[in-house]
Amino acid sequence: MLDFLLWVINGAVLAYFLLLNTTYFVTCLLAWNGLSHYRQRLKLIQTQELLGVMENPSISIIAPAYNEAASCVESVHALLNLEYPDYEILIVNDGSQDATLARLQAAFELRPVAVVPMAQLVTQPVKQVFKSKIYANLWVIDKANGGKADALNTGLNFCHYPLFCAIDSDTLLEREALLRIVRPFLEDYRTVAAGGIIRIVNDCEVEKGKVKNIRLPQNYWARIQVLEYLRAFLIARVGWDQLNALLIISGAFGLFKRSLAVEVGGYDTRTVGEDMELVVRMHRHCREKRLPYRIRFVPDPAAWTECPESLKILGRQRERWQRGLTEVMLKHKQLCLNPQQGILGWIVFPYFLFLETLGVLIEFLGYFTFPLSWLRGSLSWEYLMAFGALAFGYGTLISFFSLCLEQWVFFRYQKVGDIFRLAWIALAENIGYRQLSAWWRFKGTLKALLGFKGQWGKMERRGFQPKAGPGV
Amino acid sequence: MLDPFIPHVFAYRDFYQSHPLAFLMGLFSFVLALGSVFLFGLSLFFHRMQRRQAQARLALETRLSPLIVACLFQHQAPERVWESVPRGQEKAFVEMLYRYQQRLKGSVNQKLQTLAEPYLVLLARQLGHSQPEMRAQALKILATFQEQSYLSALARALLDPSPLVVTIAFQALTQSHIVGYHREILAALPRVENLSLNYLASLLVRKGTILSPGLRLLFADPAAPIHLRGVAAKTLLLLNDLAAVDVALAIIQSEAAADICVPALKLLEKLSPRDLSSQILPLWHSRDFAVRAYALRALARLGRQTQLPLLLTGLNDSSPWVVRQAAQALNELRQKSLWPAELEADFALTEQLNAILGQA
Repeated sequence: MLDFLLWVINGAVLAYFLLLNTTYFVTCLLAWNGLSHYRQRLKLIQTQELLGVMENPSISIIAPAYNEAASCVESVHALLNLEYPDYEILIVNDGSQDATLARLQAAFELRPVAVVPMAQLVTQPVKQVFKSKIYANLWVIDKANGGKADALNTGLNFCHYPLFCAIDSDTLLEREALLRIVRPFLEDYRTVAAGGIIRIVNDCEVEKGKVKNIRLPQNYWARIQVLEYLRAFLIARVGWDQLNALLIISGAFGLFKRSLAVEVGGYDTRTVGEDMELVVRMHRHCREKRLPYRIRFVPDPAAWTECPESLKILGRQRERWQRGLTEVMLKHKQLCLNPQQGILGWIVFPYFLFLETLGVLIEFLGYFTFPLSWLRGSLSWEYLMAFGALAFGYGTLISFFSLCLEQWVFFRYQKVGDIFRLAWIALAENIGYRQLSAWWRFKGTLKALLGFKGQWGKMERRGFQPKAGPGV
Repeated sequence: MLDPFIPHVFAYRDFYQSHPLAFLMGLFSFVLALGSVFLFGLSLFFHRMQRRQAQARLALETRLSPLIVACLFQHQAPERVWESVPRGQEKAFVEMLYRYQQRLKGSVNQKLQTLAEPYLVLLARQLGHSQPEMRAQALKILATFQEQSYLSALARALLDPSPLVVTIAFQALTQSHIVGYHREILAALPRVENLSLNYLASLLVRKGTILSPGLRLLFADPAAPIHLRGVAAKTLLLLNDLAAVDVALAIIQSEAAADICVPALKLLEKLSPRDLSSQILPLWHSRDFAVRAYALRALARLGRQTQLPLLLTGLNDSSPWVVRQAAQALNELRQKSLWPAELEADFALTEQLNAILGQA
């Protein structure tokens, strides 16, 4: 009986594994196709020309901040230096317990103002709205703690412009990032949201809010995340974008049509995956109302973010992301195999629900059932090794694919040593890190299924300074 | 068939017969490993290629920049520059001139065109390329340096199957100094209709009032796509086309969709030379907050202080956008000293306006 059960689970693991990796492979091909065209298009993009457009849509940047005293001032300086004709910055202090507000007040000479909100999204109470005496387009909204989604909704209530850009307060936007990310909105009026690429800033040289020298992080876990981000953005996002089926726009950098975000009810405060949930709701709303729409990924406007360097914080972050994903999938499960939702219902949603969410449980079980079956003699050693080799091979191939795309199209890591280091990471992460990641994701899915509630993720920041060391 | 090569190293046939699935998986893993090695090699190749390209670009710029600058600003003969362009780097040279062109203004651009001229034929060949991006790039550079010689190519490109190429051609043909092609531009509008309203209007307005009659017809046509009608309205507004006022008036009296009423109201607000309050007033009762907000704006602008009671009512509207418009209009009247004395003394109202408008 046990052998039969193990046989069934092992079969499910194999089927899951094949389906997942086939999807990854197809996404790789789509991404290759998309980026090969985009590479040519990059030559046609003249940001100065876009600046010359008489009426670029105005943008409100909403940056929720919670205990961001270490990096908030530098981040705001970077935001103030963006190249864009008309934008306002709304920093939403979500009841920080550190000196976030005090530092902002001191650095930007904030004075209290009375402002009436422009939308009625329900949020935690706003204590005070401040406006900078030095910069007319800088606002700080101080509110009671309610979580990231609540802070974003508060920002949405107070923003005045047709587009809003949601970022993390520790995100560094490149100077031309807004000009580049707004392009889909100029090129296609149906565009309701667009996401940019997130890159890792750890150990890069940052001066006056600008990434001056791009370096690979020295920390092993941070290096793994560099590769993970390349896979997630250059393969997954670009690939899904080719099918107009982008389900995730990172909360760290996304541009949205304000009116639609308000119309669908703003961010959901009951999930930790509020960024994905909003995008799913936008898809759903537009499809149900038969509104023409596009949700795009633009691979060149970059936002730089600090990633966790300790395993403990990384684990917490990944667990939270997975919990967010699971919550969103469960909330919108009726989209799955729904013919009215087109490709979203038939391909994208089943992929995320069965493979990225529930499949994690199967994957994790596999780590136990395979060795157990081998110990009981119902699985040959040869099969076990072959399966391990296959998993290793697939994982490595996808990583090399992303590395190749990075070098081909963007060439941000310009030292040849960086390619070797990332190649080493692509091999090494298969042993140890992938299994850990599976464990974190397993916990995340399980917690979401059991109804655990999430909060702001705690992240120890050291600000945008390279670590002192022999390589720096 | 492989027996002579690997029989003693690995008894694959026996292994296949005893563990067929493991054999296939192992074989596939081997293929994946080869793929990884290939991709790693390709990454190194791309890295090298990118470096070389960057170095070549730098070398070319170092070599040619002083000559180009001398030609542009110190009367150096262009032949001297042409002699220095290395064989095989002609296209890179034109692209370099194109980058210069983006940064320079005025008569020096004429000299840049002269410098680019002998090489443009290379780009003209690229117009027939199968990749739309290549066609678009060629078109963009040709339109920059010698649009007069390639006007017919640009007009033909408006019918290209690629929206990217059509957009580039449209951008080029709508430049103010290009004479003619109005019909082609208006006819091509449905092919670029996905462009944002403001962007499209900002391109069209460069052509000036010559497009106005066609745009008026488009604005008035209830059968035309509403987005394009909005584009027409916006362009007419930017062109200060007074004849469009009657069209806008007819629209607000006969149509109810906010997507067309709002552009019409914006146009009336800015361009109407006479008070149209009685015609606009019914829209103040619209269920759509955008229509109410823009109706209020138009009423405040055209009716001035006669609409004060309405503006005060607007402060209590259910939509914050209407409230904001009302506050802005009231504030404007206050600044122009058009408030009656009793309102001037109403501090609560002043505070309310400050709060709505975010003033300290």
